[in-house]
Amino acid sequence: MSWRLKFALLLATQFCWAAGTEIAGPLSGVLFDAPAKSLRRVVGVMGNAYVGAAVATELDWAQAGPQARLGFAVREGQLFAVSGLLTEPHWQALSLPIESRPLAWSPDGSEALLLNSADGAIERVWLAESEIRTEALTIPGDGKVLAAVLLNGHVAIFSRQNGETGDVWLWSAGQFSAVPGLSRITNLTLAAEGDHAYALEAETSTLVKLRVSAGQLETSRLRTLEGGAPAQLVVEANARAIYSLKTAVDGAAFERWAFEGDEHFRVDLEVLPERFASGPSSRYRLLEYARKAGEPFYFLDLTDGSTIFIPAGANQ
Amino acid sequence: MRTSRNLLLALACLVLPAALHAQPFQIAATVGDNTTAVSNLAVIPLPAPGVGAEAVATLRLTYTGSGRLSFPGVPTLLGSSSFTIDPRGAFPANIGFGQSIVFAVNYNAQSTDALSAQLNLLYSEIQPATGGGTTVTVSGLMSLSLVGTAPSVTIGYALPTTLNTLPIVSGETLNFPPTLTQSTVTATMLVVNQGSAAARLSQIQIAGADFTLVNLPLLPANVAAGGSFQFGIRFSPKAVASSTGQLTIRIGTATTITIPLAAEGVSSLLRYEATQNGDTVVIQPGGRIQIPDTRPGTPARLDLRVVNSGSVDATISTLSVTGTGFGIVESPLLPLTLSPGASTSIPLTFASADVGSFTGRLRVGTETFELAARNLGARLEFSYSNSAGSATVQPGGTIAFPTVAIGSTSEVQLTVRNAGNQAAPIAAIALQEPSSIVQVLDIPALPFSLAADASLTLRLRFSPGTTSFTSQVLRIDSSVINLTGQGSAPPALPEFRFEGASGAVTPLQQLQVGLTLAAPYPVALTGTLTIAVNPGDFTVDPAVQFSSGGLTVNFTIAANSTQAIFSNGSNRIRLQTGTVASTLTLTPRFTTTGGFDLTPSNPTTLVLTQAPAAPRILAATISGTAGGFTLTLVGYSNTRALGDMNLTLTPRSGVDVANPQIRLNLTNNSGIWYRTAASQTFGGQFQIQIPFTFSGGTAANNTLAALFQSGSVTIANTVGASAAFELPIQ
Repeated sequence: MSWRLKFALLLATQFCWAAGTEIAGPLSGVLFDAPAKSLRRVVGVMGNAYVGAAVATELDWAQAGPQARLGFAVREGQLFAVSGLLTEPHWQALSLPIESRPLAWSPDGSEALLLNSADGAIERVWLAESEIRTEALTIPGDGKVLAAVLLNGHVAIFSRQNGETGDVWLWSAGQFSAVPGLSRITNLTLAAEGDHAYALEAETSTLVKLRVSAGQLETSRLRTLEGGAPAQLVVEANARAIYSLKTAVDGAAFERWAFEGDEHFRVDLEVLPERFASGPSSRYRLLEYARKAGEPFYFLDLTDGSTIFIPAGANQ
Repeated sequence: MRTSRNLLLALACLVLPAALHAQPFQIAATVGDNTTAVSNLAVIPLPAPGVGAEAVATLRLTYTGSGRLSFPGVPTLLGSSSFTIDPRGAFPANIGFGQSIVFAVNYNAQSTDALSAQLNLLYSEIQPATGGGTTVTVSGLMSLSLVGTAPSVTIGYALPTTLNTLPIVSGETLNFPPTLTQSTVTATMLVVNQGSAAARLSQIQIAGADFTLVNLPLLPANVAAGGSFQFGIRFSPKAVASSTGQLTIRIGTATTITIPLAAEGVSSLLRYEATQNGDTVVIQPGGRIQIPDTRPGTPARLDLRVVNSGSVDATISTLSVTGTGFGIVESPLLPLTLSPGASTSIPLTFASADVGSFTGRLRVGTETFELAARNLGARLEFSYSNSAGSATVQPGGTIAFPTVAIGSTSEVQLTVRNAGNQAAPIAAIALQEPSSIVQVLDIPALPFSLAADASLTLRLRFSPGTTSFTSQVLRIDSSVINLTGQGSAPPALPEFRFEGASGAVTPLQQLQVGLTLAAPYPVALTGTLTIAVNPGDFTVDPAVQFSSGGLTVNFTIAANSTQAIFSNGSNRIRLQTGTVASTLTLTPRFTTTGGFDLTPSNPTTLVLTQAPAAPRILAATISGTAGGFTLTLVGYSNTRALGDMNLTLTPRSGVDVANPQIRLNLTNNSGIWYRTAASQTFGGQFQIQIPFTFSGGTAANNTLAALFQSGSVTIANTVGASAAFELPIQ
């Protein structure tokens, strides 16, 4: 059907408010409260939320992905996948070692890559309709997977190390293909926008933007970082700045390096973060720290670099 | 002896013709200083001054005739060989009238017996003829008896205690009996001559301040053979002490007898003895009697032996003991008379429940003794001191801390002294109840051994937190000491101010606030900062919380500082303003660490006001469905009410949409939602899903992106409409 015909058929179309309007309260996701060994819902929007009731308890470990559509947990020596954490949780035991941990989450939270730290095996877990499915991914050749990102559209980027060398692999449409022109990269991280990723070329500390288009990985080198590659790095929205974790003598801090000019400042924190972890969306990074019971969760908002908290005190 | 006599008799017969005549010469015998004329056949005594000494008799024969007298040979001796003749070259001799010959006879005394010998000397006298006649020669024999003697002096003494006469030899000590001071005792000395010659006492001397000679006859004096000589030695002690002296008796010129004297001045006739440490010791009146060491609850006993060392009966009329713990068991019946040499025992006992050294006094008649005993063990004594002074405290007693202002501290030094005589093991030093108000400092590593007579000093620190009375119990092993104290009100709290956010706030903020005193405060403070939420529509947004959770956060203000440090370790605490129009009033409460409330009656508060505002759309999605699409909006309305929603879709070129703008009134729907209990957990937040359907065309078969190039939506409430939110149409 030609577009002219299509438009002709739409003449006099109108849309109407249908029955079934629903108003509810927003939930921002689910967090694992390690001291409480429970998964707890985040009540409200980020910046005005608090940690609410537990969805599941007595968990040895757990993590929920963006929008809490999918999550994983270990209880009594068994690894589970769980969906519907914001509505009706559905638990499914996985035939995977309990050492398996999420390596990457898709921006919409419907898909995850699990890495078995024992043998380096990669397992892809995703929601199909309301079912949880899994498949093993095997990257050709040898090497140890260091990092991966999942982009929308069932596309993943892997960085591997093999001795002194490394390689980058694109997984798209169920196939692996080596990415030419990139060898060793570090700090592979999902962009705040969720549709692309960033990484540092190890040898030059050059920030590279990675985008998948038409099944091909497009790379663009943005900026070379002076002083070498940081250990932990995330990139602000639109690549305006990067943030790295730094432990100062007088406390923990971010360091923010803006890409325009020489702006460089430190953002003092109330806690000592150990690493960035995935948040309720690609916009946020959870600042993991040795959190005690009742202490808040902290997030880095990649849209503006602010840190926000979610109280998790006893009143909840 | 018989042979000598027979020989002498035969010789006498031979010279009998001359012997029958008087000898024509005189005989003078000189013995010592005495010269006497003796006749023929006389006896000449030769007294030697002592055994081993000699006596010499010098004989001078002087011719008294007119002729000539000749001695053809030397004299001969018959009898004891102790006699010898010293002829001195006189023989043979022929002398005329008036002429003499001299010779000597020696007696060397070998014993105290009297020995004898006979001296014989032949002589011839040629008498001139009378009337022209012839000369007549008359021969004769001079015979003298010699008797050698020697004295034998023995010294004896007698003490009044026994009156027995006992011999004593030179060099042997004469021990006097213990003698009361200011009294005397006299020893009777006896010089006995048991020899054959008289002994001549030429000198008797005494040395020693407490000794004197008494009843001494005039010297020199002879003590005849078989006779004796008596005098006395008086001992007169002037002090309770030992005395020594010496008696010297000189006999003749050659013999000296020396007798050391030993005596003791005593204050009593009774001698007191006790066995201490395995040795029997004499205890002088006034001295100390040490009773064997014992332990609390175990009696100790010491038998004091009383001996009458005097020479007369001694009577004990009274017997008493004073001093805690001391006593006499089986006391002898009084009065008790002890004859000289007799003894009795006084069983002394000591028993006490306390540890330490004890003294008492024992009285025996007029004499007293110090009693001493030790109960072995440890005994802790407690004393304390502070700025006001020092005092002792008994176990179970109370130490009151000086009153001090809340936030300040006062200290008391508690000294634990081991007044016992053995080390005290201390296993525990602790307060009965752990306390931040009372602290015990300087506790040594436990267990601890506190040596006898050593001390341990503990610091007791009182840090009152309130003005109420405080009591604690300090336990040092089994000893208990009560500690009490009371604090006084601390200085008034300085002014304080809030820092950070203030005044008007908007929804969905995470604000920082701080709290600072206008001046440093000397006392460490704790406090709370509490949010009071006063909502406009009676719904308190549960999202209004401190980052630490809840509506109250704790803080501390260190002493002498100004800034409140919150539970997050920072001088700022963040809070969420929520999504309901409300007034948030932050009120601090200040207390000392002990809980004394310093909050002013009308404290300064921080008021954050979130005024009613138009809704805000935070996120929106539009997703196609079969026959339409679903619009999902996430946002808030701090009035907790919604009015009209205006949705505008801009069709793509060529797409004819009859109603690209649609207004929906959400008043009823939102009213229902915001009245539910579930909505209250979200404050003013909402998530609206609105399904739309297409009608009048076949748009359902097309994607939204194919139909519309853009879209926006607003929502209003009674205050106004939100900013338009651009819809992501894909």
